[in-house]
Amino acid sequence: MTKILDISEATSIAFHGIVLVAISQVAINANDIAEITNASKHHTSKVMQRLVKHGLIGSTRGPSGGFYLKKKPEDILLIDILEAIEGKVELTPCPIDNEICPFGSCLMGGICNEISEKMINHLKSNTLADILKNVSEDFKLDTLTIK
Amino acid sequence: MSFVALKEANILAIHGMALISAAGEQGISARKIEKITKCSINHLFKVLELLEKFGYLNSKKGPHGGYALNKPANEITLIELVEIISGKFDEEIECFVDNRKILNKIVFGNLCHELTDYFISYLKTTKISDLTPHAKKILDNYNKKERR
Repeated sequence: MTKILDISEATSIAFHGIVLVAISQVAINANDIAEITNASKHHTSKVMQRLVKHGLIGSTRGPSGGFYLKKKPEDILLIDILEAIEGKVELTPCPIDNEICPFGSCLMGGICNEISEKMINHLKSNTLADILKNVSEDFKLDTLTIK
Repeated sequence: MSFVALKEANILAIHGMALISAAGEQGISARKIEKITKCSINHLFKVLELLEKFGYLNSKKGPHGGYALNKPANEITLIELVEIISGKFDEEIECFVDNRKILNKIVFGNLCHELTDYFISYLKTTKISDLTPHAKKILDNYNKKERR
């Protein structure tokens, strides 16, 4: 089955990883995040390191080490998480990133651009705190059980 | 960056079919489509072969050969073309990443569903005949330039 909307595996891990870091009562490491999100450990480590590099989370070493939030959840916009992974988001009018459309104006009326713009606006206007408000106790409980 | 999961082949299929429709019964060569869309000819051939195999196109070989529609343009929806290339779309999908359904819903709320529905509805209701007038202008301009 094909999906209509596309987001990279790395970005998906980043969103999930940072939420897990925020809700965990104890330091959570890349292995725990990989297990909970069913992602590759190696890939998860790389993604989390990018979040560290961008100052969204910090990490402590050692057997009980792990990640912690470096900013308040209300100060982390969802777009910050996306851009930590994908780089600066620049919308291109073309779904296949053609800089100049050979048809002059988009044959499909710019619908792909419109959809991407709505996604970006959502990510720009919501913070990690908004997500955390909606994370259910069931989800937190499941996470702690796995941990 | 685009969040819409259309591949270059999908775009080629849609643009190619619109140009073929605009060319009418006389058809249009793959070379001309390549020049107008500025795509790779090999990639274009693969897409056109697939569309022919699924009964959407007729092709004639030779110096005056080319591709023509095998069905009326007002009977070809964009979703058919996209699904030939990418496979069936999943309309019921919770969001766009497997295994992480709970958080995806929290991160994106109903936005994924709304945008997925919106795009699928566009693909289902838009026909190649809707895109033909735009493609005809492009083709006419190209033909004028070529004659000069």
